[in-house]
Amino acid sequence: MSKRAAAAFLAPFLILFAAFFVAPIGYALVQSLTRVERSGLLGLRGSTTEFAGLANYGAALSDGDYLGSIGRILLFALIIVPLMVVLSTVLALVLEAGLSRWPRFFRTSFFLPYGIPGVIASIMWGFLYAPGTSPFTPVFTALGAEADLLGPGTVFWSIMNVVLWQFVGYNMLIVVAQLQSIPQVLYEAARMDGATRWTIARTVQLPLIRPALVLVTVFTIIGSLQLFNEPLVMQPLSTGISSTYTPTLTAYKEAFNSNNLNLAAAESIILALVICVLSFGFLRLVQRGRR
Amino acid sequence: MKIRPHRLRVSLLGLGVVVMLLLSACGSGAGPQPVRLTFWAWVPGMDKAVDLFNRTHKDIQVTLDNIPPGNRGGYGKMHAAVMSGDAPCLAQMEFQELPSFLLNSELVDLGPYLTQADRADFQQGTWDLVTFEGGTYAVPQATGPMALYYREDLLKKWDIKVPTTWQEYREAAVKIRKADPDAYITTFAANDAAPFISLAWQAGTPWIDTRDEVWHAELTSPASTKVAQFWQDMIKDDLVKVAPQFTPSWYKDLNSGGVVAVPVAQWAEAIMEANAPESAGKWRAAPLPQWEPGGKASASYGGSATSLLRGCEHPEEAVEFALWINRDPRSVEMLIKSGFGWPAAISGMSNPQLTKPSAFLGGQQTAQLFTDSSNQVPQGWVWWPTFDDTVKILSDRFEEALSGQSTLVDALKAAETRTVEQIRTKGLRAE
Repeated sequence: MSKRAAAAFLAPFLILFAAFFVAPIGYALVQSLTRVERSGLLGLRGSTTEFAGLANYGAALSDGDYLGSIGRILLFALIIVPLMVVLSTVLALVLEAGLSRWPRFFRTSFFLPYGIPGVIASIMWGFLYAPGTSPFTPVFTALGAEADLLGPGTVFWSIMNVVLWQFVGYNMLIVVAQLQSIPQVLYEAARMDGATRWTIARTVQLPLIRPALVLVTVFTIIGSLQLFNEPLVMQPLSTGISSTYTPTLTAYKEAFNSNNLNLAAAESIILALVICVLSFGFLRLVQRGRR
Repeated sequence: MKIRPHRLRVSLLGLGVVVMLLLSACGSGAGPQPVRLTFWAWVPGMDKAVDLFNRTHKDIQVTLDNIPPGNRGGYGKMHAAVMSGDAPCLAQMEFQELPSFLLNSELVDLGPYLTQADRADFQQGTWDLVTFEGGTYAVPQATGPMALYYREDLLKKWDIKVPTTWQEYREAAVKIRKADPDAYITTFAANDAAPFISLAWQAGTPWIDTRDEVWHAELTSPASTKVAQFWQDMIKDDLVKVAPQFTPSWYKDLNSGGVVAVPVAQWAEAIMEANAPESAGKWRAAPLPQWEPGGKASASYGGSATSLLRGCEHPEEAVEFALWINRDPRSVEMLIKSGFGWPAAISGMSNPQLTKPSAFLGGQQTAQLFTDSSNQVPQGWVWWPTFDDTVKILSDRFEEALSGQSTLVDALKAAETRTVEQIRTKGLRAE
């Protein structure tokens, strides 16, 4: 095919990619490097936009709340990534091994939460957690445990539960797809050699679904570092979610409450860099292990 | 001759076209086109008032766009719209938000479009809230005078008299805890510090002072510290339930008697009535408890105005609408019904909707109570351009204080430092 034809086919993607991806990032970069100067009590006597160098980045990185939110989200990722990988793999293996009846029904119902928009899921779980309307609180009280699922000490785990509930089924499908691409001959050969179901899972299936597991891990790292919907929706219901609970929430607050777009841009770019380093770092690590 | 009617029709059509062209060239043939304005608001019931305006005004037609409540994204949307040069003419605006919009010159000065008669129709105190450096930046709509809403049936049952001072309020809280281990006098909403700021307002020292074109933050004045200490002790002694307000759990507590005496703004009554219907008739309203016995200080929480955003092409018509919606008795009546607050228009205060007995309050008439409350809000309070940020940081520090490692007083100190920093990052002077 000629180069021109290739360009024509790529053009629609490239134009949209430039307009809705590259340009906003460029704009955010510019924003993050400027600040506004004003005169008079309320700046009614005019304001000017000035080059600020890295001052906004300095302000973001010296803000304990923002750093704390990055720390919180790293801890969140550290816990949820293994949970997500293990849970979705186990579910996929169990479904594929034919251990359950009606595998299609279960596959669909595990996947169903992913079809519910994140905001709606958060509102629903908010009701399920809120004292007074929660069906779980009485159970916890009966067991003698702390009953407030939206309290400062528990809301972290409550949010993680929502994220797991929502994405385990989706990630399971990725693993299932990879499992189904394993040729039947491998299973037959293994069975001929007298392998048990457990041995097959360990020595045939797990090594062959490795690419899917890498994908699930990267998705989960990115998704959890961008955690936003759940804490934002549950904030009015909980005394444990600050306005700087996650980095995205911090940037949102700066942009839409404090109207400080410059700092918000700097905070967003720092977060993007953290995500890049972690996800590409993970991919590097995995690929090196392969060689 | 068969074609004739056809020809006639054609020539008539032609004539019609010519006439229409002539008329439109004159520009006044079919009557003037109405001026079209867009209004962004989130107040329930506003749609009905706008409908009525459109029915009664031929020359101005207003389209209402419902947007998220201001601090839940609505203001962000407005800032973005003004920046992109595509803002609506009219916007719902809370009083405390005006300075942050002025920072970027996002509002139109209404001075040239207001007559003395217009000004005389609204309470002077509400004009003060929308006036900055000589300009008038909104038409006042409603304020949020506060009162103590209490469960008359429960206080009577437990033989507790209605607290008139904060000391008595604390004593009542102790008695309530003894009478019913599941009940609290009220909730302390650590996740939203805005109501706390109003209670600090009542104590008498404004948080911000603007001498010599500099913003002086005084969040930690003795008066405000006293308020923080009071609630800190209430939390420490388990006399107040630490939980958010205006949530399903809160409504359930209102219904079941889980909270008994709530200091809250007048506009909350409509919300309480809608969400805690089983408790209707059992509530009463009384003046806010005082810091000094016999004192007469109240506070205001919330309150809105109607602003014109920068770029409005029809300011005169927009002001006409803003005045009508906040002054016309029929409009005010609809807005009161849906709980928009205490009307800023003087005629609004004698609106039948306010003077009639309230079924939710067991037939109590509250017009005088709130007129007094409205008049007794301490003067001299100034909102500052980073108010939203202060509320957020104060709420965050309140939440931290719940873990017991810091106190509400520490939270005030942190918010004061942060407020000064934030005003400075806006390029203004603060100390």
